[in-house]
Amino acid sequence: MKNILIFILMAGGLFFFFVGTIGLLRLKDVMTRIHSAAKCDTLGALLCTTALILYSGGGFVGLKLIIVIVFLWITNPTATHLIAKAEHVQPENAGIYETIDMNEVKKDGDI
Amino acid sequence: MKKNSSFIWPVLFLLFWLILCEKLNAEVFMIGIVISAAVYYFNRNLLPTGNFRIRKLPLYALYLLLLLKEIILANISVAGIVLSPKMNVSPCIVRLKTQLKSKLHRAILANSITLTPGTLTVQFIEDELIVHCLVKAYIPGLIHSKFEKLLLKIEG
Amino acid sequence: MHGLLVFSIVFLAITVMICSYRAIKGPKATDRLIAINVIGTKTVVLICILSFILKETYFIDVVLVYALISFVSTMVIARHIENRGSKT
Repeated sequence: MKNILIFILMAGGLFFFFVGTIGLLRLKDVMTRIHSAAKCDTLGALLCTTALILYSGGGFVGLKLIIVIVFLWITNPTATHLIAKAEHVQPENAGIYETIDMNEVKKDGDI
Repeated sequence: MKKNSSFIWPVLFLLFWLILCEKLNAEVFMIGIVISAAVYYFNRNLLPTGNFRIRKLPLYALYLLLLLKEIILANISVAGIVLSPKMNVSPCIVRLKTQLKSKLHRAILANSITLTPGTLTVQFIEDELIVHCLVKAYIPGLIHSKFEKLLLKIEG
Repeated sequence: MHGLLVFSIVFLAITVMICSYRAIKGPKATDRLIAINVIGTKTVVLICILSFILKETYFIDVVLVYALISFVSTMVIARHIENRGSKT
């Protein structure tokens, strides 16, 4: 039973890592590449590390792996946000995407 | 509530030290108390001193569960977009305002939006978020955000 | 179980190689930075798995330090790109 759970979690983690890599290669724009790269990686790391916690069977090693998960979940979105900001403030990128201002639309309900 | 936040950091440092040491005895415990008190004393101006309340802890746990569920569901949909033969992406940038007051909750909201696939926080100026969307279908979920409602409940 | 762990690190190593294609070719500096960040996360998980194959638990301390250094370096390079522009 435990082995099956470990197998499912590890396979899911590897699948999301694979999807992130494919997205990094296939998508055409810097911003969309950031989408595929950072998020799939975060979920993949969570699933793989949970499988390792089950494999280790608790104890101090499991607690250390939980610290690794917390650290990755705080730092990965922050690093992604910094990269996206560095790309967004470049002057040659102004006006590439259409901008929707939600502050007026929000009063009317749905778009 | 300032009294609460002043003793929670040394306790967290002590727990971190005990986990790193991998054993529990009196010697390790005493060294840990000294080191965590010293670390807290030298960094007391850098650590956030918001009004963290212990009785709000169940709501934070609920938030974590909601975040996990949303991440798994939305990651599967992004995997569908990436693996489909012709990727129909329609990127656009959305500006929206948030009603949250405290800086910590704003940072949590921005990181949650980044982690929920399809949306990515680009910039956060005062109370205005600039969000990049992968597909336009994600925008309604962004406006009526469950995360913001729960965070407002925690704050209020 | 041991076979699953070995398969996982081989699979992760292959995906790291595929990512390094984007890191070498990427038209902008930001592309390279994303690829390096992804490779860093994959390396963290890879070292975790390796510590269970070799049965040496102190590798997990190495993982913590590696994640910290990877985050700080990404942050510094992103700031530099933000100030200087993303040509090449």
